Amino acid sequence: MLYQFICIVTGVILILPIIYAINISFMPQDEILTTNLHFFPSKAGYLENYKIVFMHTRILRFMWNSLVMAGISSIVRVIVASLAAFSFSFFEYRGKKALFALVVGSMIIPADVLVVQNYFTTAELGLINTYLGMMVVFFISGINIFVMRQNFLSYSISLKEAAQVDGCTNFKFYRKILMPSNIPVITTVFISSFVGTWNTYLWPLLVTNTDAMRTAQVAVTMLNNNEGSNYGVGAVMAAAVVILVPSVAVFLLFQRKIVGGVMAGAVKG
Amino acid sequence: MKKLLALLLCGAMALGTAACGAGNEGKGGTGSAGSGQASGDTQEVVFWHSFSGATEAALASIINEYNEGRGKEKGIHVELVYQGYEGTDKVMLAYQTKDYENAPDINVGLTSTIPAVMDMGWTVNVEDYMKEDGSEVTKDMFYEPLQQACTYEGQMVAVPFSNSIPLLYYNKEMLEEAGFEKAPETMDELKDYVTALTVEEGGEVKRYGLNMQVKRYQLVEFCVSQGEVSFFGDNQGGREAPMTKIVAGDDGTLKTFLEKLQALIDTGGYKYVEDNINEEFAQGLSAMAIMSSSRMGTLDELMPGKYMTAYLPKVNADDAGGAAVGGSCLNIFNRDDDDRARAAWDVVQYCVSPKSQYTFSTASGYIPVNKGCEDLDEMKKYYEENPQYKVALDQMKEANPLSQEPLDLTYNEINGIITEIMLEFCQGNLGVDETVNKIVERCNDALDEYHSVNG
Repeated sequence: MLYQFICIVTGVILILPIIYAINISFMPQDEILTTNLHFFPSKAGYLENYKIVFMHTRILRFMWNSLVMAGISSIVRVIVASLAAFSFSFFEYRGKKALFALVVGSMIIPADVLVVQNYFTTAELGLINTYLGMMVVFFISGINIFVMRQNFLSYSISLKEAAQVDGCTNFKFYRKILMPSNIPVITTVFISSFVGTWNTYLWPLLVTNTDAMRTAQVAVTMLNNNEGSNYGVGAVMAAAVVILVPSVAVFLLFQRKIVGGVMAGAVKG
Repeated sequence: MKKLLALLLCGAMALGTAACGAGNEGKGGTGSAGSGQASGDTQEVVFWHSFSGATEAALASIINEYNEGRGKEKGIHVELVYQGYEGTDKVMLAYQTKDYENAPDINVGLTSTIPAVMDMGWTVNVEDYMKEDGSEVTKDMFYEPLQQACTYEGQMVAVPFSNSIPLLYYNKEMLEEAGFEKAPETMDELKDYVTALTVEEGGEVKRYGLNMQVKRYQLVEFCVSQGEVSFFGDNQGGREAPMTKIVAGDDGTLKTFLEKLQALIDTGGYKYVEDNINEEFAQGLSAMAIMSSSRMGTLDELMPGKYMTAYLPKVNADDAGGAAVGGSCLNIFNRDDDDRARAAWDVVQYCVSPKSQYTFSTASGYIPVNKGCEDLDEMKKYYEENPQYKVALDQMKEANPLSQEPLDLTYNEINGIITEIMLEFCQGNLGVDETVNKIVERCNDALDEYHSVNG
């Protein structure tokens, strides 16, 4: 009982800022800028902030760009990471440890250090102003390979050997047996990758030079300007709420798979 | 699992198809914002900027007018691209990686980045263009402080565009209630005003007399405004030659300002950190605030008619330096294409014409850079109706042109150092002399490091 209570209180504390942000997005400027705390909008149905977002930024186009970038790069990341982890977990070959050390080593290199070289490579490949250019640096992640490899290591090697005796090829084992029984880790990698890429601001801005190729995060900065003229906190919150929707949707959609995977394993014992 | 895999793969295929299609659209369909070449008889010019809201709308209307009129006649078309504040960094990145295709022809960059921008082989020294016979825009069309702001190593290398100046904003009603008929003119007067305007209840400050966080921008302003002419760094603040050290410590301007600031802190009614300075001022949580003149557009929306502006208070009553203009300028890049650079110059000349400056200034609050703008009837009318904007212009005109922000090479680092040390000073953790020494020492270290790395 105490455990549930602590969980609920923690959950409420964590979600309060998000609910407050949603509430602010439905408030007029003079209601937001008061010294008294207004947690809920005084009147329902105030949609001016959302009108500003949709009329003054191309947010739907920007969100589509973000969706393409985050969606494809997350799928590619899952495929690449799982194949690499499959190799590191189930095969013995010369240089395996050195290769794995390189993968782990890549985790300690800050992304900012690579920006110039990555830009140079992307420009040389003629990928500036393309979705591929926006996504290419997100295709491989050392941490994802590491997580999947650790998960696969706990997988029984004898199962693979049994499958081979029955004539199962390596790729068939990966596709038909290994992947279906590791849905929780696949889901975890996909969600973290999607949310991380969706929230990226700098790289997509660097490799695109047309307004049509901007991502959702840029819409928020376009509304959040201190100088000259701005649209107010309400519009910024409205934009933040709008671009939050896909991240939450992905989490809700795949969350069941994490639980489902754990449960499935438990029943099998 | 099969369904999930099928779903993922279908999704990947669908998005992949879209990615290829839209990617192509981005590359060619929407106009080649980065790589635009002369298409047919039309010369493309790419213009990167960082404006949003009404300012962006004003710039867009100027550019549309150009594209539809003069641009069409001359066969020039401008593509306006929002780049946020990363525009200058992106140009430098493109230059470092020799990415000729994806750089702009015009970029709006902070004046403090001029030395770094001029280091790039691409950057055009616009003084050469302005000196040519028949040039529509000449150096003397700009106010002297603005000419000086864009001057580096004796040449006016960039074109002033979105420039502002620090102002004292005050709540008209609050000052009247406290019996003040005009704004404070010196820091000594400011101290008295802060004392009178601060409201305390139960030992808690309910209304601050003044809000201003001293960062690089504010500290520099108060230092260079002292005396007849003062500089923050050597070589005239980096304009005659690259800046190598801070001189505001040696000439005493830094110490004098800190002593006056200490008196303000002692009143208990000076808020030395900025949370939401615009909104707090608009809500009456502070009676006065020191901010850039470019905030006027925002304050007009938050508290129309309730505030007024005044000159930045003098540190000493006999100071004649005046406040320094800050903001951004236009840089032109020539990527091995003289015709294109000439086309960009034509666009820049159009953007700084009196008429364009009227449109841009009245929408944004930036100071009109062209002297001819204030002679326009519509501008005169605008200033009559909005006297707070005229204060910014007058203050700039009265300032010594040599009173300037430094071209300090490591702008971000120096801003971080000053912000951190000034916060310690305001919190009472550092004395005046200690603060002076620490700022000078750490800023000089940052400059030394820059020079040792960059030669």
